[in-house]
Amino acid sequence: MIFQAPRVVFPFHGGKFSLSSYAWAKELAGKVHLPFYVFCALSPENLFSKIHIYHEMLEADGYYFTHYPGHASDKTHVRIKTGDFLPTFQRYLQCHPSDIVVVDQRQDFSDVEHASGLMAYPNGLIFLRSCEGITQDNFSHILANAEIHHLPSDFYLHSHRGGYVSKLLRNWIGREN
Amino acid sequence: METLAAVSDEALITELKKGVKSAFGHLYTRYSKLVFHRCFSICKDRDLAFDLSQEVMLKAWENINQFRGESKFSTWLYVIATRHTLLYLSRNKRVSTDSSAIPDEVESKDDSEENNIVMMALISHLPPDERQLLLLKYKEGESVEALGHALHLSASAIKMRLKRSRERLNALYALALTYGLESALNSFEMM
Repeated sequence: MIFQAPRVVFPFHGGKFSLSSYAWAKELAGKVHLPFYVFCALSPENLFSKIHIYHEMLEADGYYFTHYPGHASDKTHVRIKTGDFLPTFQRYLQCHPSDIVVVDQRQDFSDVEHASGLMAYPNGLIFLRSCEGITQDNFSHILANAEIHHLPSDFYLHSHRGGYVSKLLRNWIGREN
Repeated sequence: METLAAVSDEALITELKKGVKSAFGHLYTRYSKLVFHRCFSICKDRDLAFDLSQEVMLKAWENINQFRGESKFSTWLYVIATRHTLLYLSRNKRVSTDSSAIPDEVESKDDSEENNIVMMALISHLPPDERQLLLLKYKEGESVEALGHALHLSASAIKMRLKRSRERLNALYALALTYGLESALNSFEMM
């Protein structure tokens, strides 16, 4: 198996999404020292809205820097593919099994069909239930309330210790699939 | 934290300089799209513009102590965005130029002459007092002290005016080299 550098991925289908979830996902990436990616897929007729995606991400980054201040070097990488969102994203997961996906339940992933569709892949999945009242202090609390799949069982217990979590994740990522 | 959202740029910058890092988030929300469009207008690539706009905003944060409030914050960012994007493009262009490794001295001379023409055209469109100051200093070689005496201004005031003019001219010059003189002249009002 070819080793792929792991990333934290936040899927975004172009509709409404939670700024808090986005900020939490980006903070997770910073804590575990992994690059942060936003995955987006647009149908060919909607490609004009690519600029809208970038606007949304800049807005979300503003929110992130307001609520998780202090990370001057964190950068968001955006990958925009062409096609229907779910099948395109599933193909992406297939090609990037090491990536950890943070799912905002306000998007269309909360229904069973979509959730089970994502769980069929070996990627680590974190379904965020709620990110209300987001602060740097309640990062772990939000993780403790999240639904976690394919990640070490004690992942959330140590989430406040970036170095430990990073090691934990790297061990997990280096496992035999 | 949320209360900062309604305050002025100046207050946010003061807070940021004091170490209130969340102030940067508010400035980011206010200006990152403007920066994105500035980068995009130069590089014509949305993906690259997004990357560059993030770098510009972070660069502004790192160098916030160099912002002394002598221009609008948006103008300062505009200049950083312009320079950062052009620098990125020139570095990438330089890589391909180096690979060809065929220096052309004649072309360089032509470029230099053309650049002088561009610069003089830009200077001629500056407001009269600004134009006069630049020409006296850089064409006639007058000293700051002599200019201060002639214009009844202190040496520091002269230096400040020269600095502002140079910055404005540099940004316009970069625009002219990228999009042509006409576009740069049209941008005078924005600067």
